[in-house]
Amino acid sequence: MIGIQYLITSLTFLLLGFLMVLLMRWSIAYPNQPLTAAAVVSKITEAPAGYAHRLGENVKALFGYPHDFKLKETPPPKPEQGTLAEFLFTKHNMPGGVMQPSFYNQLGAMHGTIMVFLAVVPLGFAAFGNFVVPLQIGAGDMCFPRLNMASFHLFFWGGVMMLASFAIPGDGGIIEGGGPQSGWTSYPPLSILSNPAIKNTILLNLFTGQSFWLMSMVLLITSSLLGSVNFIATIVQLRAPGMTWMRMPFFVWAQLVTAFLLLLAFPPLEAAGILQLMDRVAHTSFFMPDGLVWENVPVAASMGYSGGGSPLLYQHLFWFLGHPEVYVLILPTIGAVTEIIATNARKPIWGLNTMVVSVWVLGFLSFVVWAHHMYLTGMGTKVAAFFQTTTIIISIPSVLILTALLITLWGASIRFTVPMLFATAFIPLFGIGGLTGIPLAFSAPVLYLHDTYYVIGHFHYVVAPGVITGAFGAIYHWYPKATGRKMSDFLGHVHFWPTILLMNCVFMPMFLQGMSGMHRRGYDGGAAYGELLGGVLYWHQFITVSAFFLLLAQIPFIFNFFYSAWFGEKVSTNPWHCTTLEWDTPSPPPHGNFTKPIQVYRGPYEYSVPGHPTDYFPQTEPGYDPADKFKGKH
Amino acid sequence: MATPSPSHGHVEEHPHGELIPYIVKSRPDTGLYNGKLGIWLFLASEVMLFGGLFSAYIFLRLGAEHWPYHDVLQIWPGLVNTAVLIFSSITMVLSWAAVKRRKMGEYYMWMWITIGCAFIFLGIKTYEYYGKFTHYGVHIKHASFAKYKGALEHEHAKVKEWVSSASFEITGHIHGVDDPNKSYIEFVTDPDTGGHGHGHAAHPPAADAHAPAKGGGGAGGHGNAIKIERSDILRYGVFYPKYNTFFAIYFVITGLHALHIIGGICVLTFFALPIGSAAIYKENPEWLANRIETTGLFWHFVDLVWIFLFPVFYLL
Repeated sequence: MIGIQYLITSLTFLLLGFLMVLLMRWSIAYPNQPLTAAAVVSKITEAPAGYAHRLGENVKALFGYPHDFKLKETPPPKPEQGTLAEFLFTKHNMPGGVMQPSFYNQLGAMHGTIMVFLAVVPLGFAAFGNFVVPLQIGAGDMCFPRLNMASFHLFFWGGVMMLASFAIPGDGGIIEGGGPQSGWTSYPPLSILSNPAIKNTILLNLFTGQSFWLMSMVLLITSSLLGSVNFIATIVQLRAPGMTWMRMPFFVWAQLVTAFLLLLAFPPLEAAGILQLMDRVAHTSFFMPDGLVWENVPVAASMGYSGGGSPLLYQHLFWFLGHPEVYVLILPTIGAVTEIIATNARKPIWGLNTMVVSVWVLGFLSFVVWAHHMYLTGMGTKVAAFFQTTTIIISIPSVLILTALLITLWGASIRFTVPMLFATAFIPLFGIGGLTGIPLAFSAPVLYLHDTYYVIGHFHYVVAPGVITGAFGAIYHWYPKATGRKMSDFLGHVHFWPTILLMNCVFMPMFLQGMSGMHRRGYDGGAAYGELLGGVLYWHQFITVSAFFLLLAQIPFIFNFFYSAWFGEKVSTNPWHCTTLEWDTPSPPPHGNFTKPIQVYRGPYEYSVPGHPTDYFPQTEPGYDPADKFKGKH
Repeated sequence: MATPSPSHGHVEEHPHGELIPYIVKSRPDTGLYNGKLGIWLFLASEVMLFGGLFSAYIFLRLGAEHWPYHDVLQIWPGLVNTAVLIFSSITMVLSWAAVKRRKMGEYYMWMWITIGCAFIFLGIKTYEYYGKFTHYGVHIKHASFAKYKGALEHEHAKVKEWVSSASFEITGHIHGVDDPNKSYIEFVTDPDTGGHGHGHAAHPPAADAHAPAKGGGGAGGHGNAIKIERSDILRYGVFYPKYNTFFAIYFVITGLHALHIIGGICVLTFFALPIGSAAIYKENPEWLANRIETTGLFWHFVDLVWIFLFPVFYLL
C-alpha cells in the first residue's frame, strides 16, 4: 500500500543520496585524482599504514599552528583515458575521471536535498506513519485515501524532477546545465545568480537546475501538506472505540506532532521558494540587495534588477521551516524507538505522560529557535540572545524524552533482538548528536565553528547514526507485520555491527577536523590549507574509506530486505508479543486493516502486569485497565 | 499488501459497512466530520503561507528607501473588489443554507451568483494589472538630473530621490512608441497634484501631445512630453514585478490570491453543475451540505485574505 510505496521509494533515494556523497568524498579525500576502480583499491589497501603514521600528528595539531604558513599547491589533475566515471557522469562533469568543482557543488546540493526531503522525511513520516498509525489507532484506513495517493504522486514526481535537473543540458555559453549548485539551503543571492540566469530569457530560466530545485520543492511541500492534513484528521477522527488520547502509543503522538510541524512550518518555505523563483524568472528583487556586484559587474545595471531586497529574508523564511524540519526528521524515529524499547524491555514506558507533554513542548519550541542558524548574519546581539535562550530551553524536553527511555531500560530484562540492537544504539548516538549541538546554540562558539566540519559532524550524528539507525530498527520491527515473515537475524547482526562501527568512523573525525577550523564546502576538502590544518586533513581519507565500507555494510540489509519477503521465516501475527493494536490483525493486514471490530481497554504499554498470565496485556484483550488503580477506580 | 485496495473512492458503498466513518455524520466527541477538520487544517497551512508572504512584505517595506503609498494604486477598484468578495461570501452561505433547507433551485442560483462575483473580481483585477503594465517609471542618473530639472518642475512632476542607487525617479507614460532605435524616450510624467489642484489650464497640452492613457495618478492638465536621453537613464520600465520591491510583493501576493480565486471558481463550478451535486444530493443531502460548507470555508478564507490585502497595499 502507500506506506510500502513510500518506504521503497525513500530507501531508494537514501541509497542515491549516499552514493552521491561517496562520489563527493572521493574528491574531498583525493582532490584532482581520477576515480578509477584501480585507484579505489590502491587507496583502500594503503590506508591502514597511513592512519597509524598520522595519528600522532592529529594530537599535535590541536595545540598550535605553524607560523610559516604557505598555501599549498594542489597537485595538477592527471586525467586518465576512458574511465568508467567519465562514462557515467559525462565528460563535462568528470573529464578523465577527475571531478570538477561545479559537479561537486551539484552533488552537495542534491545530497542534502535528497537526504532531507526525499529520503528521511518520507521514510520516518510518510512510510511508517502511513502503515503503522492507522493500525495503532484501530482505523480501517487513512482518513482521506485519495489525498494520500495524490500526496505520494506529488512526492514521487517532485523527486523525479529533482533528479532530472542533473540532466539539463548546457550549451557552454548562455546556459549552464546541470543541477543546482547552491547547497541544500539555496541561499540567495548565489542561488539566484547560479546556473546562470543572467542573460537568459524568462522561459529558459525555468529550465535551469536551480529553478527545477525550486519547482520540485513546491511539489514536495504540497505533498507534505496533503500528508499532514491526512495524518492529523486520521488521528483525531478515526481512533477506535476506547482509544482515548492517553491510550495512544507514543509513536502516534510523535507522528501527530510531526504532522503539525509539517503543516505549519513548510508553507513559509513554499513562500520563499515562490519568491526565489520570481527572482530568477521574473527578475524581481526580493532577495537581491542594493549595490550587488557579480563578476565585477553591478547586477542592477547588467541584469535589470532593481535591488532593495534582502538575502536575510530568505534565510528567515528558510530556517523557519528548516529548524522544525529537524524535528520532523527526529520525532517519528523517536516514536518508533519508543515502541521497540517498550516491546523488548518488557516494561511500561517510564513517564509516558511526561514524554507526551515533552513532545508537544518540543514541537512548539521548534518554531521559535530558527535564527540560531543565522548568528553570523549580523542580525544583532539582542536577537541572538533571544534565540540562544530558546535553543537551550528546547534541550529540556529532548533530554526528558531520552531520559525516560533510558530509565525504561533500567532494571529491565532486555531481549536483544535485532530491532532492539538498533534502538539501544540509537540512544547514545543520537545523544552525541544532541550534546555536540549545545556549543552551537551559543553565538560565541559559533563565531569559530560556523560552517566547519564540526557542524557537519553534529547534524550528521543526529540524522545518520541517530535517525537512520532508529529507522533501521523500525524496519526490522514492523517488517513481520507488513509481510508475515521475519527478516533474518543473522544478516541483521551482519548489518548492525559494521554499520554502527563505521558510522562512528565516518562522523567522529569530523568533530576533530571542524575544531581545527576546516571549512565545510571545499571540493578539495581544504587541501590548500593542509599545513594550517595540521594532521586533520588526513582524516578525509580515513572517512572516505570508512564510508565506502559503510556502503558495503548495507548489502546484507538490502539482500535481507528482499530475500526475507519471499523466503524469510513465517511468523505469527504477533511475533514480538506486543500490546499495541497493529499486532492484533493478520500479517499483512487485509483491506480495512482489521478482521473484527476493535475495542480498546487500556493503555499502550501494559507489559509485565502483575497478576496477568502473560507478560503482555494487549490493548484489545477484554478486562480491566491497570491504570485505573491509580485513579482510585479499581 | 500485494493488491492495492480498489475501492478507495467509494468507501460509503463498502459491503462491510463504512470503512471510513464520519464522512457525513460528525464524530460525537470531536463534533467534526472528517472534511471539516481537513479543510480547517488546510486553511491553517494557508495562513502560514500568506503569513510568510506578509512577513516578506514587512521586511521589504522596512528596508525600502521609498515605499509607494496609495499614489500608485487606485483605491476604488480595491474597494469595489472588497465589496464584491464580501457579497460573494454572503451568497456562498446562502447556497449552503439552501441545501440545508433542501431548496435545490435556490442553491444553484446562489452558487452561480457566487461564481459571477468571482469573475467580476478577476475582471477588476485584470483592469488594475493592465494599468500597471502600461505605466512607466524612469530612474534618471544623479549626475544628469540637472538637465531635466526645469522641464520636470514645469510639469509638476513627482520626483523621488534614491540615495541607494544615486538616481531620481519619475513615473508616467511613454509618449508614442517606445522605440529602442531612438536615443531618447519621450516621457509624459504623472503630475504632482498636491499643491496645484486638478485640471487648471495654466499649462495647456502641446499640440503634438495627445492625452496619455488614464492610469495611476490621472493626467491633470499637463501632459507635455519630455525627451530624456537613454544615456542619462539608469533604468526604466513599466510596472512589472521587477520594477521595484513594492510591485514585486504586490504582484506575488495578489497573484497568488487570484490563483486561489481561480481554484475556488473551479470547485464552485463543479458543485454548481448537476454532475458535482445531484448524485450525492440524492444519496444524502447532508453530504452535499457538508461539501458546500467546506467549500464555503475555503471561500471565506480567500475573502479574508483580501480583507488583509486591501488595507495593506491600498491604504497603508
